Amino acid sequence: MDYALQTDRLCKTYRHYHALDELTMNVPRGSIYGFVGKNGAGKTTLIRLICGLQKPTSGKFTLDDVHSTERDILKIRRRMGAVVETPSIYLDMTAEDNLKQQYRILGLPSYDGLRELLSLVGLSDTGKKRAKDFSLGMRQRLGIAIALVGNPDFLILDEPVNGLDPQGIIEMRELILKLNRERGITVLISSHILDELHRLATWYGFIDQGKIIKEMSAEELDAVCREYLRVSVSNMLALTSVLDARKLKYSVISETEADIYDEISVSELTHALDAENCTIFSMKEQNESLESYFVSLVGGESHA
Amino acid sequence: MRELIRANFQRMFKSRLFWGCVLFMYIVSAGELLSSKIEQLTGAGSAVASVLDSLLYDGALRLCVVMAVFVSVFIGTDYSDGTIRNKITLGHHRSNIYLANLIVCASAAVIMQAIHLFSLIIPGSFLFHDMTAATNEVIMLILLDMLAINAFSAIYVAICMTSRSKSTSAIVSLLFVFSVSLLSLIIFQELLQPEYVTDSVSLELVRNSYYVDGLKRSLFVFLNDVLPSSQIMQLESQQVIGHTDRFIIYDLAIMAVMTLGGIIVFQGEDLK
Repeated sequence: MDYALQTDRLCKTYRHYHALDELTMNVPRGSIYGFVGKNGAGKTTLIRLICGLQKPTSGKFTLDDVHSTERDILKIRRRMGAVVETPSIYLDMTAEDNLKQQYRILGLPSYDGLRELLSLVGLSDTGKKRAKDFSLGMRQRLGIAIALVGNPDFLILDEPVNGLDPQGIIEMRELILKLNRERGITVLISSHILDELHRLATWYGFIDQGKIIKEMSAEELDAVCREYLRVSVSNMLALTSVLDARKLKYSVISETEADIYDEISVSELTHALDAENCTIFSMKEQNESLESYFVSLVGGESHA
Repeated sequence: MRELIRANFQRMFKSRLFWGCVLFMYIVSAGELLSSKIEQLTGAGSAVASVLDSLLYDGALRLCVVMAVFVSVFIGTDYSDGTIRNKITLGHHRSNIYLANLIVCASAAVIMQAIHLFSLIIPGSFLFHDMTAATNEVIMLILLDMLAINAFSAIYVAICMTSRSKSTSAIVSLLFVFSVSLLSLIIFQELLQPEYVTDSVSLELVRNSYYVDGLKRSLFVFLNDVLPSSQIMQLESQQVIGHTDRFIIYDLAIMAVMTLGGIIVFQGEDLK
């Protein structure tokens, strides 16, 4: 598999605080990679290292198979666009002037494609309005337009829907999907809004305390976020011994509730629990959400 | 680096701050010209061999203060708006980003100085008809002033590129230029003291108690040559105590040291 970005035991320490702790991740080329983690998990720190804003304490990363310390990395960076935390825009300039600045910084010979970029992000009617008078959503979109100058292959978006209204979130999602589908741009997107990420990402990386806990494809996640049977019983010990005896996967939620992931005959279960003097109060079929899966990864007991 | 320089020039020429500074230099220069003419006509002004010459030698220190504000805001905007991230993400070397900023700030100083001089020379030659300074003298003055101003600019750029805050940079730069100018004034006044003065009672020549000599004088003479503000004061007052060839060396040394130091610090910084 081709990777747009690979990190190998990347570490970043600020005085005594380990923001990244031997982080290893792989972003497949052409994917929309959803980067999921709590506040302070290390998402933005990683993005800053990849963008060259900070140097790693140790470890390495490659962009398009080029090591970050090689000279050729500069050529690779020209094919990258990023919005890190807040959009990087000159507030005293118009949308068009901001894009022209980016064209100049890239050394592009003309402003071809500038109008199309403004249309793509829905800012073609802003005229002489300065960016400081834009709404948050407009600034976010301008930040993305700037990141798209020069037709990058790899786009990094750090919480792009922060502060956007529901309409803005939908528009942002459609834009990202369009860029990935039509231009084949690899997108690394970090977000807290897990449901939104679920509609976008084709790959996931779960980060906690500076480490990648799990990487998986969207298909694998769908398989994990599967159906299960939630049972409420009077005697949890009896239930767990019955399930262990049948080698079934389950997880204990509380003193009276447990989730059973494998298929089981309800009659057989009822019979077995009855023999152990255990009453079943309720049984419900449910799906695991991305949220609950994430919580189970970064904390919470599991026997799965 | 060419791309960065072009982008910086584009931003500078679109910047209200830059044109505001240019307008300020023009208005102050034109105002001085007008007020000098009024004084000449009313006989209120002091007798000078050439009004236009004295005006030409003026203004460099004012430009140093204007540059403190311009450099702080121009470079500080890249940090406050976060746009420095665009340059670094695209793979530009930090040293190139630094040098591009330095070059554009130096160019801004040249433009503002040119506006100041043109707004004096062209209308001034019609108003006064008394310019006595030779062309090569004027050119030498302008070049020496420019070097001193750009030595200050190199210091401001180092402050701004390492402090990352627009307001902190502006405050520190302004404090610096005023403090150094005050120091230069004190040193200059001390060095101008004559070694002997006429006693008002005996009318004999006596040694001036305020005369600075020995090691202190050597130090003052050295600082008078090194400090760009001191150089400007000597040129403006047409009383050069030091050696103008050394001015060039010291100014270039200041620019080199501040630029190198600034680049080293900037390259090691973790940016957000």
